[in-house]
Amino acid sequence: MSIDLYSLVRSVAILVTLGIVALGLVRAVQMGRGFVNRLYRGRAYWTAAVMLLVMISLSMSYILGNGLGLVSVVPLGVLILVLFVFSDRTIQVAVEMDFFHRNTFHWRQVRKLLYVVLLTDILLISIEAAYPGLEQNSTGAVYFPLFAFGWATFFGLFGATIVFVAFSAARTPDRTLKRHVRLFGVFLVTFLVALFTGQPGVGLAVNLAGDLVLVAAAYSLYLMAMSLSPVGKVQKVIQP
Amino acid sequence: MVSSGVPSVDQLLGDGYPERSTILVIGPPGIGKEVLGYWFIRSGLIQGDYCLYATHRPVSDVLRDMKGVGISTERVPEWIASSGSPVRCDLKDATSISFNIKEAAHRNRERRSRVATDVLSPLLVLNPLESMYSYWSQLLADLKQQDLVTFALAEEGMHPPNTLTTMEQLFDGVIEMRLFEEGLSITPLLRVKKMLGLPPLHGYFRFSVTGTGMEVVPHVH
Repeated sequence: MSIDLYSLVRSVAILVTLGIVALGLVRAVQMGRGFVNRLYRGRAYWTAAVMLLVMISLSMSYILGNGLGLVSVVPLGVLILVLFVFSDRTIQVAVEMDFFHRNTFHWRQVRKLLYVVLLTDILLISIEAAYPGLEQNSTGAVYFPLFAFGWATFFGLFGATIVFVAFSAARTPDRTLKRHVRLFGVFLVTFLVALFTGQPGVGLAVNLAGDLVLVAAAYSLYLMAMSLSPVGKVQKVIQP
Repeated sequence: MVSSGVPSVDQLLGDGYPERSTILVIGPPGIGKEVLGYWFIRSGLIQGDYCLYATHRPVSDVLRDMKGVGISTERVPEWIASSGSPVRCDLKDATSISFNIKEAAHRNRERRSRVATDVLSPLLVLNPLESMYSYWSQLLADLKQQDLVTFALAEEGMHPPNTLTTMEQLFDGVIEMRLFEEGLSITPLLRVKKMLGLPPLHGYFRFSVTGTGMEVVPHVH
């Protein structure tokens, strides 16, 4: 397959992906407007924010010809913050949905601490991004612990959040919310696969497969937006 | 008729809910079913009716929600709640919930009364459908012996499809609130599936909740 034909396939894949995610974004916003409860509305809007972020990153990557380098285009801090707030809203909705209102692993208290850790992380990672030579210039006594703390807590924070989301979703009787969380998991996995397989230098066949996975990731994101409505599927209005 | 507390809903139903009726509101979580219940109770408190709110939530959560939709909490109903109330709502003990509701209603049998509850769905999730059908059938029949309107909420999406259809048979009136799709847009709509004393009401109504009240208007397709 020639490079030009591959570029065409990639362009089509990116455009299809953007179209699907845009549709999902519109659905998420519309559903958010339909909810009266602020928690449910907030979750819908943060779902839309995740989609917006994906759209921005894909568009910028495509325009800049930077493969699918999400992290290289969208500031890492924004990515971390949006994903964390989205997870927080999902857990709060799950606690609200649980008939016994169990505060899963004391999330209502722990989340405040995690927000402090998160903001500290973002600050440290921003310093690292702003001064790339800082790590090498330091003696290791001052800066290395900061960077180590930043990245270690980043992975720890998201690991813990995934556990919180999974447990709280398991406790809710709402099957639609469970589906929503499962689809978010599918999106994360497929999107990561698409990111790695979409990088230059891994081979055209792998790149092509990555493009297909990217479309699948977008579709799971769209289904995630649709599963914001707990009935699972909104029905057509049928006037008698 | 007993006012629903929402003028446009009263107009839609021909002046409110029927006397001594049992009303079920079905809808997905977050859609605003509770708001109809809050205004129903609020209207009763203003008119001097005895009002009871039986909920699986803490009293503080319900009061916060009420304030959030513009309902004054100067006057509050009697509570059976998971916390913050003299009488506790224990979802693992369905018998005590039924007993406490009936006991409170019986104590106030000389007055017109209103009971609103959101415990139907939790009890349906925690107990077999057959036993819950008998349970609610008995409870609603007992409450209808008095000058009392019962208002229950049910969560859609938490039960197998036939469960709520079965429970609907026990109620005199069923109102459905849902997000509906029309082309590319999604709209929150309400429809009256059945109401005692009214011919079948066809058509959908668009509803909105603001900081000052709830508005229901016919939906133009």
